[in-house]
Amino acid sequence: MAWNRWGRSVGVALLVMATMVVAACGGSSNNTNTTTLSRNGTITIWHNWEGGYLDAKKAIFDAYSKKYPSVTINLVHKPDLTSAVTTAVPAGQGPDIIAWVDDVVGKFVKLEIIKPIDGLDGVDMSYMNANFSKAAVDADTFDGKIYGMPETVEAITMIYNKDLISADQLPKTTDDLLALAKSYPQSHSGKYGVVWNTRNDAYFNAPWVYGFGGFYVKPDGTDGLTTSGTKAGFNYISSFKGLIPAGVDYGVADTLFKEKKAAIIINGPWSVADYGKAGVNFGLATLPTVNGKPVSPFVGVKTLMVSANATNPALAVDVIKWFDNKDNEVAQSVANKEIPANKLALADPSVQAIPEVKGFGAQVANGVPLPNTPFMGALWDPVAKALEAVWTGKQSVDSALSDAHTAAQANIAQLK
Amino acid sequence: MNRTSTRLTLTYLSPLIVGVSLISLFPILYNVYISFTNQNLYHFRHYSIVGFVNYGKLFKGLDADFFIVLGRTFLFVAICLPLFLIVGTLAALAVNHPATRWKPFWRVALIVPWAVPSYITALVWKFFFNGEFGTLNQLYRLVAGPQAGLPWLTDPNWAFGSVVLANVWMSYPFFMVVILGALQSIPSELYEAAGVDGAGAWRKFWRITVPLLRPAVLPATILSAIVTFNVLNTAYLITLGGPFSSAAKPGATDFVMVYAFRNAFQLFNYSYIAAFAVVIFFLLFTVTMGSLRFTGLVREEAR
Repeated sequence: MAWNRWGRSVGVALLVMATMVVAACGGSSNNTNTTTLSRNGTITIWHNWEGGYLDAKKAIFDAYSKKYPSVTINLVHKPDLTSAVTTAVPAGQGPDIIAWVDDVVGKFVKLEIIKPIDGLDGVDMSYMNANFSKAAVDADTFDGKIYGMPETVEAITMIYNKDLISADQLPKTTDDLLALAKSYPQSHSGKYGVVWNTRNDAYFNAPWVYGFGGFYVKPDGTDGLTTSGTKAGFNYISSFKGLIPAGVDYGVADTLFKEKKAAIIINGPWSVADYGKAGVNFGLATLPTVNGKPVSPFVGVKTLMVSANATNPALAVDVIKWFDNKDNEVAQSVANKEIPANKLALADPSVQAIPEVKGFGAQVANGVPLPNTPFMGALWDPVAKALEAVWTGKQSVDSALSDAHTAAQANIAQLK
Repeated sequence: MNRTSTRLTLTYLSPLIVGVSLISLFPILYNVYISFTNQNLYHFRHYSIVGFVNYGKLFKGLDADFFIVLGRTFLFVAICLPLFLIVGTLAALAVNHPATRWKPFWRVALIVPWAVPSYITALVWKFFFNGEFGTLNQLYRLVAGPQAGLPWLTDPNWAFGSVVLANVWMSYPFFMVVILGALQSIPSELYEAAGVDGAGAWRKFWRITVPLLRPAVLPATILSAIVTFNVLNTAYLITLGGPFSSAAKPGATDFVMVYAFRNAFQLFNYSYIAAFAVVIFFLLFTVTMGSLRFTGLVREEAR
């Protein structure tokens, strides 16, 4: 019978596969850094810019390609950018440039997803300090190295529909905001006083947690989920139950405001271009105060980072420098009403004249920096789920936060 | 049998053997290997072998995620399968009934939910279920007043039911097609003879239709049980595994594949989920083999 032979060949196949398994675990690729700049090749950028907002940015990259015709710049929109990058880059794929917010810097360094840009195309600390605000430079520096170049700074604030509410009716304190959420639907049937994602988003609810004296995580890995301040913030958020749609998420809140069914939305600078297009006559106001102290949203620094797999990092840095130079930052700011991280651009009179820059700028001044420690990555998911458990009434604030603390510490332990 | 024919056989089979090894066996073995390491988001390139730590996490107690997820998935299968059968049978009987007109039209129309790519159907249902703008709640508001709304996706039990509903919609046509085919192969003489003997429609259904449908429906049911157990698209796209009642527990629609997907590709807990997959694999393998033997479907091979 042929059974023996069959057995033997299966054995050989298994052995071959076992070898492959072992081989697959070894070795990481060594990328050679070419520090000399040659302006030809293709640069792929993964981003999450959308709509009118994207158009202004694309124009700047198009201008670069026009100036240096042998450079092709591919803009690739990734809706799930951080996951996509985390899967693609360690596997040796992915883009040359990653456009995201500074909160991932620490995590991406730890994962070897991005590489430092010191010394590439003349970038060093003095270049950074000469061009960008201190907060922005700090956001993109990790363990003393520069890991990206800041594009714009952003924070969420109150955006109101001037046709639905007048500036003097705007809430000044957190109690006013809650009172407005209660009274507004009574006087305006089918409309909401205020909307934001109260259901399951850690970023949009940070202002209340930090405003009431709580916090998410410190650079040493201790979390603040079980502090009384965080609990007070959660209690405040859950007092909006029944005043904001039960199934609210970013999209629902955004749509309600665009359809003029919500007087106030809490949202960031990226949204205002589309509110203008939707015909909403909007204004900006700072978030309310609690006990006389303004609540504090996260201040994020939008950042362009260079992937560990970038084949021509010097060219990538050159493209980023072009994107972040004074003239282009002014152009973006004028088109998208963003706050430039480039301080020369921010000082430009045409930028200072933009009401949105003034409005969001006031809120940025009250904010807390979005942590760039890798520990922050361990907090987003547990905080979001704790919010959901409280919002749907499945858990009390205390037990939700205690579970979130357990989950966050389990994540942090893995990271260490 | 002689040497040459064995060698010849192996030569002919080699593309298949290489293909199966690379595509199917290698990933499985690699998965088993990963399950004994600590590979995750933070130890991606530099990981080490940790033994049975991940398996320990799986079985750390009766309230471990593993048992919650598994129990919920079995419940999901147990609720979905009878519904597939009932709705599928009713649809097939209706289409097959002599009084039904435009049969070809109905046959095509009822298969549509099955033919449309499932992610499209899932996203359409997600919109139907949306609390604020969804079709179902808009209809509900016509009856219950402007402020009303049902918690289709926000309450854990409702969300579970919503996913069942969407999944039945996507799967019943498969059963309808199978049952319709079997129905048409039942000779009409049997019904005529039963009629002569004085059997009513109800009796004919239970004594003729059901026994003769069994050989066709049983394998379809087993297949469908496995597919339903492995549901990912429908649940993940509609609920993302939620709603979550606690940060430390799986969500209400965290079925086996949803849980695996979230842990592997969102939380990047590769080694933990590899161990999870190994256990699920053995479980499914045993159940499938058992049910195949039980229903006599492997007899063909033994003959």
